[in-house]
Amino acid sequence: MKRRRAKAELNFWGQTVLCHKPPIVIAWWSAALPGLGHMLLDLHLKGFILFLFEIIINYHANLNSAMVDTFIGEFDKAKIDLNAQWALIYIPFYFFSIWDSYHSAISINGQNALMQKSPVHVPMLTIHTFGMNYLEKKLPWVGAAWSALLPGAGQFYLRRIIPALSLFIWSVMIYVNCHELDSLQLLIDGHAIDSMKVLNPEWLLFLPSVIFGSAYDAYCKAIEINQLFEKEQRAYLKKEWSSDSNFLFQRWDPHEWQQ
Amino acid sequence: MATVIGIFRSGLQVELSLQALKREGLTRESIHCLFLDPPRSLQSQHDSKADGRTKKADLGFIFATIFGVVGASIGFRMLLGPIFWGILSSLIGFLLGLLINFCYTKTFKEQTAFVIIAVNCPSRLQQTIEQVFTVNHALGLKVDS
Repeated sequence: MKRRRAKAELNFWGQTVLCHKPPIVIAWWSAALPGLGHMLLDLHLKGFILFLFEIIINYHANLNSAMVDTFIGEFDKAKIDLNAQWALIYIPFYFFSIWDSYHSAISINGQNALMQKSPVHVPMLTIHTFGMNYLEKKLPWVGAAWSALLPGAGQFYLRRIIPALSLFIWSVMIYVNCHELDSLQLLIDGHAIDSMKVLNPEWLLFLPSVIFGSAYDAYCKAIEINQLFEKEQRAYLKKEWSSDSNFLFQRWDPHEWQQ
Repeated sequence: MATVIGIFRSGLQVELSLQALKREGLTRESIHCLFLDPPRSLQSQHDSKADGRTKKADLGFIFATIFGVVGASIGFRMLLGPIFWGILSSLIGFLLGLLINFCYTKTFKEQTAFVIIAVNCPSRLQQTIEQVFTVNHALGLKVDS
């Protein structure tokens, strides 16, 4: 019989764990980059679509360039840079993604509360012709560090194939278009002015959100995977390897003490 | 008869050592496992929603993003450019966030669960079992013979 609610799923695409998510933190990541919040909630299809449209709309509205202008105090230039039509589309899109991720987080927490006390049933190893996947302890900071170096790498470490693929595509696209690496090379060679000129602010401002968003995702998911592993192991050891609860205290016969 | 007790971090090595003990010919009745949950923090004891363990670095990543965006933007006006200032300010933001988190939770470390494996065995197997435990990264060992 199929269970009405499952706590976790493991297959060749990766693993998904039902657990408590702080709605405010999820809403923040949606505000940093629409799509990230949904990715953290494991709503990958929604996240992927929002991510795609965020970049299309933001790019055409020149929003990031206008943000740079505003932060350095050139308000007139910000007005010229901003494309009013696209910016107006951006507003409902932006707030929808924040609102939707916040509410999804709350309802997922409700599902989690219902499942809190039920035992975990999850396969530890699955083998499929597309690949195999298994539960093991992951290191949260290693995942975060890989994602900080190249967004998507930490997701591959944790075997989250779908977000890893979308982050890889976008991080390559963003890195190439913002010319950050060209600029870094020029800066190391000592051409400070040139290094600033090659940079494209519109694409550059995507980078902090993508880098730290994916690093946070890798860090969080590693902890969730570890907690799932521990829950499964606790249930397994209790069921199979603790036949006698007095085991530790029984072994001294009172007669032995007197000898 | 001897008793060997080992403590392990919860992980694959627990199951590997159980497998190895079975291979040595020990029965299930002579092995007992205890799973030790990490202690709940004082805050989460009252908070039924959380699983008992909160994430220690939420604010670090959030501040790093904010500081990174603002720092990179302002960097367009400064010597050394947006990349240098972006990276520097996001590092500062990250550390600041960690520090604020630390003030609330008083710890940086993620807590892990531990497993105790206790084995009753004939004295001749004692050394082998100690070796099994050592190979599988036991954190502590106690032998009663």
